[in-house]
Amino acid sequence: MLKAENLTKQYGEHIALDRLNLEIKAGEVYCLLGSNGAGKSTTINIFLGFIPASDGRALIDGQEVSVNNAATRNMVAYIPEIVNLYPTLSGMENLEYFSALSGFRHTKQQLQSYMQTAGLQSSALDNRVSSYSKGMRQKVGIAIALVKKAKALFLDEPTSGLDPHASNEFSQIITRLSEQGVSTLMATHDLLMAKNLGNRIGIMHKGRLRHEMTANEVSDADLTKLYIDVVKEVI
Amino acid sequence: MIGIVVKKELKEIFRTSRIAWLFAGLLVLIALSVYNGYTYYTSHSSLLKESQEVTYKQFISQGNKNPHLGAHFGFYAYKPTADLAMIDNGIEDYTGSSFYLEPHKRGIIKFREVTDATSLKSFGFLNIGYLIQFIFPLFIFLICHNIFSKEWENGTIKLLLGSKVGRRDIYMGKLLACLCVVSMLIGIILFLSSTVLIATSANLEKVMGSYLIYLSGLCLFSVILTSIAVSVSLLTRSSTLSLVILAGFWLMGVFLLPRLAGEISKHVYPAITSVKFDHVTFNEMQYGVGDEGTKDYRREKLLERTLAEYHVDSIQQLPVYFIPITIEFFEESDGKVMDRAYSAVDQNQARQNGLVRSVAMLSPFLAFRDFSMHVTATDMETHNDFSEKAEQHRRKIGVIVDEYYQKHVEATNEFWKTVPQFQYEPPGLTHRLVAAGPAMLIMLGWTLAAIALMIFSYRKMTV
Repeated sequence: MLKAENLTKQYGEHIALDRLNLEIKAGEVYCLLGSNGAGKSTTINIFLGFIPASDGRALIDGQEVSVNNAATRNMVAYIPEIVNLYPTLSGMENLEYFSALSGFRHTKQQLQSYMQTAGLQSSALDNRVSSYSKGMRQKVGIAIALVKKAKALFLDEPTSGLDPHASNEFSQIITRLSEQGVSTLMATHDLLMAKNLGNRIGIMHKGRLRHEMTANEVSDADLTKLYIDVVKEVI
Repeated sequence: MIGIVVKKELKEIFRTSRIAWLFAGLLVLIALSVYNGYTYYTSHSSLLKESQEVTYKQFISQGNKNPHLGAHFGFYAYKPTADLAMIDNGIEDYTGSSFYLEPHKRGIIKFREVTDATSLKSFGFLNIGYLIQFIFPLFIFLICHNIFSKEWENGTIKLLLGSKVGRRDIYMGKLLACLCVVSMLIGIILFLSSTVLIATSANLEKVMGSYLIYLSGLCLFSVILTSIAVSVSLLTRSSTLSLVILAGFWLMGVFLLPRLAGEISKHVYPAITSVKFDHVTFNEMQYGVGDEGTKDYRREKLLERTLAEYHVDSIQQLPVYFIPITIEFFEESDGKVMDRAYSAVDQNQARQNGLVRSVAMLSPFLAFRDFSMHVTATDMETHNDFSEKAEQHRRKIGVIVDEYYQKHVEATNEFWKTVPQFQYEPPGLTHRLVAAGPAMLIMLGWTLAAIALMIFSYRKMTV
C-alpha cells in the first residue's frame, strides 16, 4: 500500500532523508521511532506531497506521489501532533468542511456517527473547537480520516501530550482502522505505544532507517535498549 | 469545491466578533455618509439656485441708472451643485461656487465652504466619496489580511492542502469570500445612494451614465484592493505582518504620498503669490506690455482713431459717447492681461496636478480619488471650465452694456432685462471620461499589478 524506494531529501548539504526503503501493506501499522531530526516527519511530509523528494519515489497504492498528487492526496489522511482545526467552527462544522473538501457529501447523522466512532462525545459536537481539549481535537482528526475513507493514515506524534485514557482510546481506534485494511505510518517517541500498536517498528537515525523489526520479535527491553543506543549516538 | 471554501470562509468571517463590530461601525458610517451627502446636495443646490435668481432679479430691476454704474451693480454666477456631489463633492468646498459678474474685474470665486467651517473641516467631509476613498480600503484590509495567514497560524494548512481540494480552488474560494463581504457593503452603499439619487435628481437619465461608471470604477477599485490584501496574506503567512504591511500601504497611499507629492509639486513648480500676481497685472494694465505705452498714451491713441473713424476733430463732435468706447477698449486689453496671467496660473497648476497625478501610479487610492472627482464633475477641470464660462459671460455683459452706453446715458429696467442670466452646464459624460482617462489607465495598471501579485502568491501556497 505504501512504498518508499530510495527516498531521499536533501536541503543543501544536509541530508534529511537518506535512501529510505520501506513497504507497508494494507492494514499494517508501521511505527517509526527516532530522535528529533531523524527524518520521520520528512518521510510523512513527502508521502503527503507537502514537500518534494530530492531523489527516489514515494508510492501510495502504486501511484507515485510526485506524479499523481491529487489522486494520492485523496487516499490519505493525516493526523499531526496537534490537530489544528478552525477555532470559530464547531467540531461538526470542521468535519463537514473537510469531508466536503474530500468530495464526500454526508448527512448530519452520518457525520455524527463518524464522530461517535472516533469517540467524541455527542454533547461536544456543536461546541466551537476553540473550547476543545487536545484529545478531543485528535478525535475530530480521526473522524476526518474516517470520513475520507482513507486507505492510508499518517500520524505524527499523535499521542504526545494525551492522557493515558485518551491515548488508549486512540490506540483502539487505530487498531480498528487497521482491521478494516487501513495502512498506518506513525512517527512517535512513545516506545510502549509503538510496541503495542505497531505491526512493525523502524528506528531512524540521521535520515537512515537503522533498525527494522516486527513488534512481536522484539521485547520491550530490547526495543528500549536499541532506541537508547540510537539516541546516545545523537547526543 | 470553490463554493465550499467560500461558504466556510464567510461563516468564519462573520463569526469573528471584531468583524461584526467593524461591520456595524461601517454600516453607521455608510448611513451617515449618505445622509451627509444628501443634505449637502439638497441644501447647496437649492441655496445656489435661489441665490442666483435673487441677485439676477435685483440686477434687472435696479431701475434707471447710468448703464456703466448699473453694470457695476453686478450679479452672481453660481456653479450649480454637481448632480453626483452627494456622492463625492471633490474640491467644491475649497474652490467655491460663485463668481461675481462686474465690469473691469475678472470675478473672484467666493463662498468657499471651508471659510465658514470649523477646524474640523481639515479632516474632510464625510460623504460616500470620502468613505470609499479613505475608510473603505482599511475595512477591506481588516477583513482580508488574515484570510490565508490564519491557515498557517491555526496550523490548518496541512489539513487543507492534504485534502482533495486543489490550490486553485482554495485561492479562488478565499478571494471570492472576501469579495462577497466587500460586495455586500458595496451593495448597501449602492442601495442607499441610488435611493437618494433617484429621490433628488431631476435629470436622472443624465446622471445615470456617470453614476454607473462611478460604480464600475468602485467595483474595480475594491477588487484591486481585495486581491492585494489576499495576496499579501498568503505571502506573509502572518496576520500581524500582513496587517502591518497593508496598513502601511494604506497610510502611504492615502495620506503620505499625496502630501509628499503636493509638497514636491509646490517646490518644483512654485505658484505665483497673490501679491506678485496683483503687482504684475496692475503694471501690465497701467503701463502696457512691450511698446503699448501707458494707459493715458493708449487712451490718446484710441481717441485719435475714434475721431478719424467718425471724421471729426474733437470729442464733442463725436456722434457717440467716448467713455463707453474707452471702457470697452480697456475691458478688452485688461482682459488680455488677465487672461495671460490666469493662463500662466492655470498652466502652473496643471503642471503641479500632473506631478501629483503621476504619484497616483504608486497609489491606487489616489488614482481612484482622481477618477471619482472627474466622473462626478467635482474636479478642478470642471471648476476651471465654470470660471472660464463665467468670465466669458462677464465680458459679454460688458459688451452689451458698453454698446448701449455709447448711445444712452441712462438705462431702464427694459434694458437690464436684455442682459442674459448665466447658465452653466457641466461637462458631459464623454468629457468626464476623457478627463478621467489617466486615472483609469493607472487603475488598469494596478489591476495588472494585482493579477501579477496573485499569480506570484499563488505559487507560494505550500506547507
